[in-house]
Amino acid sequence: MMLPVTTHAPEHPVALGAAGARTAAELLTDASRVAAALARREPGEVLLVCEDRYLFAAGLLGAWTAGHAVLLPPNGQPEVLAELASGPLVRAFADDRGAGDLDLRQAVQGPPGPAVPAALDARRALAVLMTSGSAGPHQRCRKSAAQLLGEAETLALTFAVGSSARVLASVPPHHIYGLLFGVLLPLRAGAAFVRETPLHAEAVAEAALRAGATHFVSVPAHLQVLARAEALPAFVRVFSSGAPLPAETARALRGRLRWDTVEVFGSSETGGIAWRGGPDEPWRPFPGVTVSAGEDGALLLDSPLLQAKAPRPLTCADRVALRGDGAFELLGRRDGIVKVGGKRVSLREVEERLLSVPGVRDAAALARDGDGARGQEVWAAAVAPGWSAGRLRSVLTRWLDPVAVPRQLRLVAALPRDGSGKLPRARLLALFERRAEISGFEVDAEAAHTDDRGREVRRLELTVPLELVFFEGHFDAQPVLAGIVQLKLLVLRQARRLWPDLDALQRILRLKFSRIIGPGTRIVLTLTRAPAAPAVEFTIASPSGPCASGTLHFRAQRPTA
Amino acid sequence: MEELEREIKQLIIESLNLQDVTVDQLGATTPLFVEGLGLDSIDALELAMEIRKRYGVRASGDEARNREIFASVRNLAAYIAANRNVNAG
Repeated sequence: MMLPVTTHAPEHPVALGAAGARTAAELLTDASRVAAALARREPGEVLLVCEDRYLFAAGLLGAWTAGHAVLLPPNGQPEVLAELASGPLVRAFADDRGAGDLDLRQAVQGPPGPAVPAALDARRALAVLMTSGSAGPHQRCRKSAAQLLGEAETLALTFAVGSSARVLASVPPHHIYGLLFGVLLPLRAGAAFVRETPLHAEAVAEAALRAGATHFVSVPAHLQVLARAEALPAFVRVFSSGAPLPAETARALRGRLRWDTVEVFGSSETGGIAWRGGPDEPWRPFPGVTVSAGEDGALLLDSPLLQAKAPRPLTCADRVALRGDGAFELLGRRDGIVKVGGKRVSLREVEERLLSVPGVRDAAALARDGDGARGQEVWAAAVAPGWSAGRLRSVLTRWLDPVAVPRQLRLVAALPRDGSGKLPRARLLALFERRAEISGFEVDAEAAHTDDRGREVRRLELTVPLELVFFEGHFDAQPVLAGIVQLKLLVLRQARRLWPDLDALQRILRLKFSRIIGPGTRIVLTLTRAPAAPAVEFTIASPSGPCASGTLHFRAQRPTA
Repeated sequence: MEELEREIKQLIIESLNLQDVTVDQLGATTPLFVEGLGLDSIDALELAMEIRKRYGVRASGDEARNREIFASVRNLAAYIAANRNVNAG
């Protein structure tokens, strides 16, 4: 069977953007020029990575025309590219930055070669993806024309993407999701894509307006930030994939930006499986895809997009609950199932519950060996501005089985996800190790000097923990560090650590609290003491300015006999 | 400008929660992304939001220009210094 790659009329625009518009005829000519540059090399793989989506498309079609498959890197890190480029099957490293041995900016200036075929054999290998597993190095995943072009056709039909569509993407074309939605979908639909890959709200707005973009392809991490931007243009449809979209973000996109956002569920290995139009809808399988439930609710997948040799149905790592109409609910990953105190706990469910709390932007849970009878226990980390760990935990207890409520709940400014949104276990665990002592303040830096009056001055840089038991109960909406806590935990504790000879505290004079201190603030504590004096002056300052000051007076020491 | 660079370093460390980095370790010309500090695109977005909140300065509409602006503390400081009065009104 032969499958078409593009369906454009020759003069129809295929690429738009600041670098200039290109027609379908121009793309085919430029691809043929790339093919000419690659034709003399033995069929193999072409490592392809570009900033300009038009040059990427020319490289893609050119490589296919010359009989190669493209090798798509897991990220654009120079060392990753260098290592992949040295692979045994790699015949060329094509890019538009001059790091490879085939600069596509120059290749499209060269003489044309073989014409781009109108259709490709369904069985032919077109791409090799490097997928990151939860453990170990990247795995190679081969994709045939049936899989890649078949999925592009399915997407065009399912989402009614026609030749008038103009697709903008914030994800690069060398990611499988960015390749399918940002390049192959518009090619198959006879539509146009935008050449650049904007990230910041201002750049998304400018690129969208310049090109008159109708569709926007993005990922939850980008959409979460864009949902907070002030003004962005409207799109006919926005696609999100790669990780669950927090319900709050989905509602903000729909409500504030009027973006009709579709979430797509799939994986590099299986291709697209299902989609849904909002956080309250069930997942609908793509046409031709059948989802059933196996033992333990395992997702059993039969799909035309599976590898030819894959067992059918394929048992996936996700758990589902089927509905009568073929749609399903995702219950989490089977490998995210842990036993805690003899009960089954879904880490994905813990994450989903956290994400459903208003204000929670990101969350991740893990299980680790606990003490005694519990066997394992659940730990979680979340990005939840305005929340304290205790209040968040109390919300979770309303939903989760008590064994599933995280024993440790870390609040952080951001989860250390990698570029594709994945969060390796080791990185997640490291969040907990860094703050083994949560009731205290960590001293990040410490310096000492003597001032011009001969007094000893100690300057300590500290971070106010994002979660501190003392935030509880103070101003429900905005956790702040109460004055008494600043004095006892911070000032007194550090003064006594530095000068163990200080006697009992008697009084505090000239005490002033001038600015509130919230969780996560970096503060500088300065303690000044004349030699052996029973008094210590202190100031606390944050990047916004002075926060507190005063003088601690201790009982004068009796001379030792 | 040195003061602004110091502020930006503090902002980067705080807003991205870089617990192992201190202001003094972070050079004004240290690459923030890929090599160097190793931040990613999500960090860039978060940082841009913080810069807008703190200085009222928006990222550029040109993503290639944004990559230059966000490449180092020095570039960020120059961009903020040049744009904060323009955007203030």
